[in-house]
Amino acid sequence: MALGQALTLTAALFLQSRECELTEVTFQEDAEYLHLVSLYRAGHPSEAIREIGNLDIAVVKRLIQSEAPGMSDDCLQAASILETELAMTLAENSLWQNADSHFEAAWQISLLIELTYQGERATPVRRLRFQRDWLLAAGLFNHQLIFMNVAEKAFVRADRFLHNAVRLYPNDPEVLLAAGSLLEWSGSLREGEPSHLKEAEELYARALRLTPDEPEILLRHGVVLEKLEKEDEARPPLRRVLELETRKDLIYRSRMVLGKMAERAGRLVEAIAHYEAALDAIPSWQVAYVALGHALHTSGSHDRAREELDRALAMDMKSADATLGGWWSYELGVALRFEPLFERMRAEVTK
Amino acid sequence: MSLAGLVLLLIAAPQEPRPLFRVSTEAVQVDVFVGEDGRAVTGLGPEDFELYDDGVLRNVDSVAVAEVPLNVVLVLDVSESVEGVALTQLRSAADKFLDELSPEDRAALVTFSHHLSLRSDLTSDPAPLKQALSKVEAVGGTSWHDALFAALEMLEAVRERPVVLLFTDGADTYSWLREEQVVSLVSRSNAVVYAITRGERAAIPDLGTTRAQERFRQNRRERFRRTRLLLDVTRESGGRLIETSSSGPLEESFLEILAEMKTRYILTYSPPAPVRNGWHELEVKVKRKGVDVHARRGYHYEARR
Repeated sequence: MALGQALTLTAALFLQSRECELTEVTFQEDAEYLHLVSLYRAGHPSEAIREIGNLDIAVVKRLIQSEAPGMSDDCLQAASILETELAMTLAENSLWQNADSHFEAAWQISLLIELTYQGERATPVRRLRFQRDWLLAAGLFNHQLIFMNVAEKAFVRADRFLHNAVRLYPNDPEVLLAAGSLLEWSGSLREGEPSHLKEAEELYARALRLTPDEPEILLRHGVVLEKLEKEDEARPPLRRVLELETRKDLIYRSRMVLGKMAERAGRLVEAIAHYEAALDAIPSWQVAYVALGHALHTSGSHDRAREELDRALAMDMKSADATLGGWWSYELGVALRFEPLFERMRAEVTK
Repeated sequence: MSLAGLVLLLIAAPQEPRPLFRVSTEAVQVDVFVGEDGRAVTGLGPEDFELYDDGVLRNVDSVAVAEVPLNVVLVLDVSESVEGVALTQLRSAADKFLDELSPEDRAALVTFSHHLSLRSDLTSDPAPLKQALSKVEAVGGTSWHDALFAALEMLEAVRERPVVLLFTDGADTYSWLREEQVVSLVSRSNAVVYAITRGERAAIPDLGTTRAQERFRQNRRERFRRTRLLLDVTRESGGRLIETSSSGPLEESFLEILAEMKTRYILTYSPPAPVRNGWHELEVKVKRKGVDVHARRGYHYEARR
């Protein structure tokens, strides 16, 4: 037997042992759905997310309506996280309508488990509550506040879910960072909740007391302080990010905020230097060209300003900046923020 | 010519296509629309206008109309909110607008969502713009502040009738530039900015709770603020804002604006040397009762060194 075949067989056996089941499978699509949840549990999240996105949402709705008879808690929880990851992916690609139904499915699946354990204070339920509250809050915040008119009920629900989630894990830097970013985003919106900026700042400060040199938390703390117009307090954490050997996107963002503050104070030379340094870090993100163009324009360097804007305008919509992982997805508070949490949640259902 | 340094069009002797600017030969051009009961007033001459520069009455040397070609940058919102019927309507309206341009006119196309794209540079051939429009997809957020900046910068070196036609149906959520920066850029540009906006009005919610009432008020305030900024930007430049219903066709608005562009007057006058550096308040009046006059509120002058 060839080594490849042996590995395939091993993987198949491994998968089989984790195969999710229902008491009765009536439709072929149900079997496919169960197989993809199993695939997710077996450590193939990307493939499972991609494939499950091709299935009709009616499949999961049917599963929920029938209360998924015979499906184990681990499988249900995996399905819930998988649905959420799919919803996040759709949201990141601006497919909000589709994302909504998967957020809702994730929430309803987690509810199935919680109802089973109602009244118990077991850890799995606590974890599940966190997952459900946190992820639904994320979905609601991102969707309802940004792209639609503020929906009163959705906002109140999201607010409550988020605070519940943070209360469950008050000393987890990752949770504090993730929650802070949602609050920060909400607080930055004109239709959002102004007090959320202050709350975000407090969560980041708490997270930094636990992990003082975590670059991403330093960056977010600096950003939110700048938004709160506490520029003197914002500069040290942002400069600290530059001192640390960290990811280029974090360097880029720190430079941009430092540049913005310098420009606002009329220190155009300094602002231009920051924007240029941002572009040194990542030349393929559009926003720094716009910022640099404006700073050059203000400083009277019109030919150079036009050059930078020409570069910005020539950038393809399909560039990294315009799609996943770029400047804007970070500002949405979606992709980078949630991945560590998803990893932990996945680990819970695959161990 | 720099956008910041010399905003209003300062022209030299007409026989020099790219003149060196000297105060003694400079002239100021002011792009003006005169309307009465919503219709353009035509047939006016220099003697019909009064032009005040920093409160001082100046002689209008000449008045030109229609024969001066347009240089229009279409700045169109292709964010997610425009997806579907709205995008079809937008394409159709832009196509009609391009069809109605004169052969001498030039147009460019910039689209924006959270990402800016130059789809076609200034050209008198509408075909590449139409082709680009047919391929546009509506996706992402809205960044019209940045897009307007890009359009103004594109028009910065254009001497003949630079105009921006901005369409957006949402609040700006992704621009790098802040509101005050946008207004400042427009005031320092020589372009006339027109804008068309549309959008859903927030339905009156169940006002059962104080919080719901506050959110509704907040939403209304936000709508007002968004419209206010577009109004400020268009007025600052001497253009106009048209608000349309959320689902109606856009063609009428686009063509209305084009008709208005075609009936604007270009007033030319020569400020006596030396021209003071800095901001100059402008006021244009027409010696006739009951007419509306749209002209930029001033210009920024900086002597060339």
